[in-house]
Amino acid sequence: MRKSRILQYTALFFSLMGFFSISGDSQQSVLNPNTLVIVQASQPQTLDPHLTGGLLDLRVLRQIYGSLIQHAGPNINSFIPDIAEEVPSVANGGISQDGLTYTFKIHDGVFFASGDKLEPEDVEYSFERFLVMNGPFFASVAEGFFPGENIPSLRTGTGGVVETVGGKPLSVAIDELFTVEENMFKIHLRQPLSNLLQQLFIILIVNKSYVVGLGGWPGFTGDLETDMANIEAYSDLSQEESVLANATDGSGAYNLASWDKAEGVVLLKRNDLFIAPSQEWEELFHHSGPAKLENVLFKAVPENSARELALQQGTADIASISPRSREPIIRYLPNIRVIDNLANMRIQSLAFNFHVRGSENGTAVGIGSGKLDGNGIPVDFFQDPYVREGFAKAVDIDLFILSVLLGKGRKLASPVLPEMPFHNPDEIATSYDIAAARVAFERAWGGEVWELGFRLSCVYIEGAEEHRIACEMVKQNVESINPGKFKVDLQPMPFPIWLAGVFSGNLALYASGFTLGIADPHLALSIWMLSDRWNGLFQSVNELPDWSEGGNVGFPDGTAFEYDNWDELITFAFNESNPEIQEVLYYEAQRVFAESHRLMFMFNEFEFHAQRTWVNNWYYNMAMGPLYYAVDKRVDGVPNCHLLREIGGTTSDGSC
Amino acid sequence: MAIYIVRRLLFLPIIVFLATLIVFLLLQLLPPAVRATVFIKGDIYQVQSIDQIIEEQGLDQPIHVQWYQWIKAVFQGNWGWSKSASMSVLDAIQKFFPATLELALATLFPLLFGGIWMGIVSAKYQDRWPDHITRIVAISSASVPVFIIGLVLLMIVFGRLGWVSDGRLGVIEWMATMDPSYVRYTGMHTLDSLINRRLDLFWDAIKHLILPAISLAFMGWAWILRVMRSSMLDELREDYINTAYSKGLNERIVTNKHALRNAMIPVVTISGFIIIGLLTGVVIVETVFNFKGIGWWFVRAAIQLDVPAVMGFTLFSGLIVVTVNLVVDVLYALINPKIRYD
Repeated sequence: MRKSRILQYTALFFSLMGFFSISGDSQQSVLNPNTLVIVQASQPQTLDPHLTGGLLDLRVLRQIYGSLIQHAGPNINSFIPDIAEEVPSVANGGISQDGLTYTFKIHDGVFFASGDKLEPEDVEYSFERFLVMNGPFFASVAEGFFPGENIPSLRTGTGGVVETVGGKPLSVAIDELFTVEENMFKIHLRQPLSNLLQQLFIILIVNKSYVVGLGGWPGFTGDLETDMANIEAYSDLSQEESVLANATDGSGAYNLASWDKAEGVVLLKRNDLFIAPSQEWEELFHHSGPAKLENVLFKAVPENSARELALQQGTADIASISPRSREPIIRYLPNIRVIDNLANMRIQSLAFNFHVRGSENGTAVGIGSGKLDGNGIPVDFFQDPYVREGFAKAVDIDLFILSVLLGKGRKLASPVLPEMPFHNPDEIATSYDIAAARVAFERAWGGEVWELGFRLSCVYIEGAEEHRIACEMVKQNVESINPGKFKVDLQPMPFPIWLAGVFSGNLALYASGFTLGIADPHLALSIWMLSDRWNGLFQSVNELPDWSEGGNVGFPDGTAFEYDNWDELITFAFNESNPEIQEVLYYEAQRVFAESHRLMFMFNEFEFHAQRTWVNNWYYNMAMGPLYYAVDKRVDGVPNCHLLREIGGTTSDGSC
Repeated sequence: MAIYIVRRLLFLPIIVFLATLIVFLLLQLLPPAVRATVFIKGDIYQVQSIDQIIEEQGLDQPIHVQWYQWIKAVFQGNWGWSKSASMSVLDAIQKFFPATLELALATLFPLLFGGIWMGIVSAKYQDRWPDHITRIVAISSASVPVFIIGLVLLMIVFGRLGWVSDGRLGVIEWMATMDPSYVRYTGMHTLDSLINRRLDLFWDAIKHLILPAISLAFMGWAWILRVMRSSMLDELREDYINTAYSKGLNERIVTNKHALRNAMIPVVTISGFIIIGLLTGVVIVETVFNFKGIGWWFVRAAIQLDVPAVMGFTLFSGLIVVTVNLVVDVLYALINPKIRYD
């Protein structure tokens, strides 16, 4: 009896083990068929489209607001009209021959969620408001609208606003940029801007009367004093202070139903006022009319395991899962599809600081003694090109991508990503070469580096495992080149302290990730190559580094361009309107970037997206995320395979 | 007693503000540039002018000046802005505290009554099988980390059985509470759903409370059970218990009416600490179950060095601690008439 009781309990135990083994559900019916639930780690910061700087915010805002043009699905170099009737070009007369005037004929019959008809004046107001509100994206577009003025912000260091631009009062300068003639909206540039179309889709169109009715910026009145006072008031608002922080009225397929800042954002589809504004739109997404799903819910679930469970159980349709090491587990769960090999706009690297600040008051981080004496580094240590070359060639980034990113990433020669215009496909990223690294270190600082040695810290954000591994690789490889003399310490920092250190220019060598908001080669290169761009953020000097050398390039027509420094090269490329010449200049900039080892260990990790197999017609856009307008849920759901294949995306369930 | 209570209440603001001073002093160890990052609005020029932000916010002022400015603002009703929550500190407390309160109330019943009952059983049947089982429960709850309990429960009940999801409500139920016709009176879904006469939402809220409440109760049983057991054993050995038995009283009356009352004093003390912990947010459980309460918010604020939020939470939790301690002291007097306060 006792033995049989033992056998019974044993059998029961193993049955329970099998029963409780986690294997996901086997449900086939679609849960919440009218609601798309997207779980991600955090919430949007604001719903004001002109004050947001976050891609997470934009992915929500894109569902609510329209813009003049949209990306053609996943393709960030190709556009389709949205609120405008067609994408302007020289051929169709939308762009003037001299490249200074862009004309957009505005669709008739587009309505905001409130019922107001969208007029060209709303477009004009939106562009002006975008500049006046002085949001995080201001600097990205200001160069094009105010060329040569060097205005990264409307605010000055003394707390006021820029008074004049090009000899005109600021309000007049902004007002004159945009005009309305009948049903046409026009942009008047001071010089040609080849990447203007790339920038347009971040300027979302708001309802002027709605915004003004809530107490937002009233627009230009024509009275100079009033307009300047308004600019001063509204250009200093925080994201939370804006009237549109929690309120929306857009022309998109969805409108804001509610926003619970603890839980998430709920969007409600617009049933009868939203129309697919163009034939291209309908052809791309195979859908016309109102959005297919009643609701889209962006839910904040900070815990990764909770997001995974929600996806497994079907209470979430799309989940943001991290890190990459989870992907091989997720992809084999039933009723879950992983879409992989998705490029994004995030550039990760180890950054050299060419002039570390704070050595006088002890706030400099990672320089040790502050001298080249074997126990530290001087503040301008990384100005020596041999030092940078030594570090860059000492680490095997291919091995990193293979082992840490599981092969899902790519190393970069420069911040101009392959998907961007004027990317140089022949520019090769630095390769691992320990022997060459040794030679470089032997030459560095006239031989003193090799003889005396150094000690520095590689700083990374606490919890950023990939950055920690990158620093670890630097440590092991660099120290092995000259054991006992080369010392690299690892220094984790909480994010706010890291951020403060980057802003203050206190960190000698640090891991960083930067997401480009616009697929613009000028933006990508100028962040790290223009001497006065975001002083202190990535360069830590207020003047050109000594090693920013000149050069010359030849153009197809036989002419040549000689430049004395990087500022001249980048600025000339930006101001050039001939794409053939621009290509030569941007190729040159990328060559210079790569050969000077401006950054080291540059890579771009591919994203993967996990979703339920019932999600249908989903696609991916690396810049702004997808529109959910044409997404629905069905038992036999498949992604929009045509669009996915365009960007090399793969699916784990063979649906594409 | 009334005088005692009034005196304690008069001391309350002094104690609370001393606590905030300690935290404030600790925060001053952070350089001004670090404390300034929370005030950056996103304007790229501000990135270059962090010194200006430091000056505008007075972060380089003497410590006593900064603290005075903060106290002054608090009394004016301005507890500052919480960047981590994207709302004012007062709004954040109002937003997140109901979740914590609701969870705490749901936990109290199984925690206290379960722990006390098991403690009594353990003492009554000392060294017999009920005692062994309850002691295993106590050791387990003290040894197993609460996040393990939470994750295992979540994996089984949610992941495998699909009975209930994480969060405070299901997706559709939560969206129902966002409808304009649904009024949020307290922020606690159980109460609000009853007031709005939505029994479906009430039941869903209860379902979502079960797992985190069990996790928290299990964590607290270790303390309640052991203290109750040892306190009860001490009382059951007293002479008056023998007298009670010799007078013919049955075991239930002797245990529950006579011994229990005296044995409760240390349990009340420890319960007070547990309740303080519950009311100030159990961040691990709140994170595991996606139950966004005040503890969850505070930890995020601390990680992001959201100084106004940290100070506001310190002030709020100080108020809770002092209030709960006062209630505990009053309960002492109620439980044991021998305890009186001048």
